[in-house]
Amino acid sequence: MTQFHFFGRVGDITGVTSDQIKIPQDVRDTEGLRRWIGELYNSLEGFQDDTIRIAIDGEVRIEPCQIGSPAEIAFLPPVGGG
Amino acid sequence: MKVILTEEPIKSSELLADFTSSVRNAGAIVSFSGLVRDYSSGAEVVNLYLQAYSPMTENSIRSVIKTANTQWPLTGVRVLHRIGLMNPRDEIVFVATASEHRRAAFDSADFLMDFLKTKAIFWKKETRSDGEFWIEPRQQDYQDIRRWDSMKSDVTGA
Repeated sequence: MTQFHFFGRVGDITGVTSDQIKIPQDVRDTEGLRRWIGELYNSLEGFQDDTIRIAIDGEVRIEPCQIGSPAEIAFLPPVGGG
Repeated sequence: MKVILTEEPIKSSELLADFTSSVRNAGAIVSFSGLVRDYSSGAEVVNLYLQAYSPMTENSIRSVIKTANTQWPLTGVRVLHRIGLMNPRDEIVFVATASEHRRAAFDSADFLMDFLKTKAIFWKKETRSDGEFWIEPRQQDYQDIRRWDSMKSDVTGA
């Protein structure tokens, strides 16, 4: 299982701010991850938004990249500042 | 250097007293308190919700404090940021800097706030009388951070 975090407006898409989900074996890279999670939450378009960055195990990744077997994945829309 | 994220109410007067008593060789202390507004974009603010991503958020703030310490001769820095649900007039952020002389304290506090307003890893949702809105930095906030472009590029994003 992987811990997912959905920050900012991404949480409006999913309806939750975090979730534990098992990533299917055929989802190996960030492109596949966006497609799979978009289908899961019925918002393909929302997760194709390239202003939303992906952090894997606490590190923001340059896409596309392999996702490996992460403990944690976060979807990060543009920050709002403090 | 102290960075704290808290869901508890901030009392800047107490924080300032504690900071003042903790720093040594400070001829000047500058502090800034940010509040949740009563009105935003002409509508009444009901509440403000702030999300952070720990420890990424704290690490990014610590990194910019390190930069401030290389730019100015500071004897102390404290940043405390509220997260979670807040009401209008609640204190949302407290920043304090101390230095032997005033200019370094003023400028470093100004710099830290410009960073916090544009680059710090927070997401904030304003619930107002006219709806709910995720807030992003204003053009003025981006102009403010560009004032520091001559400093390290990894901080200003220039």
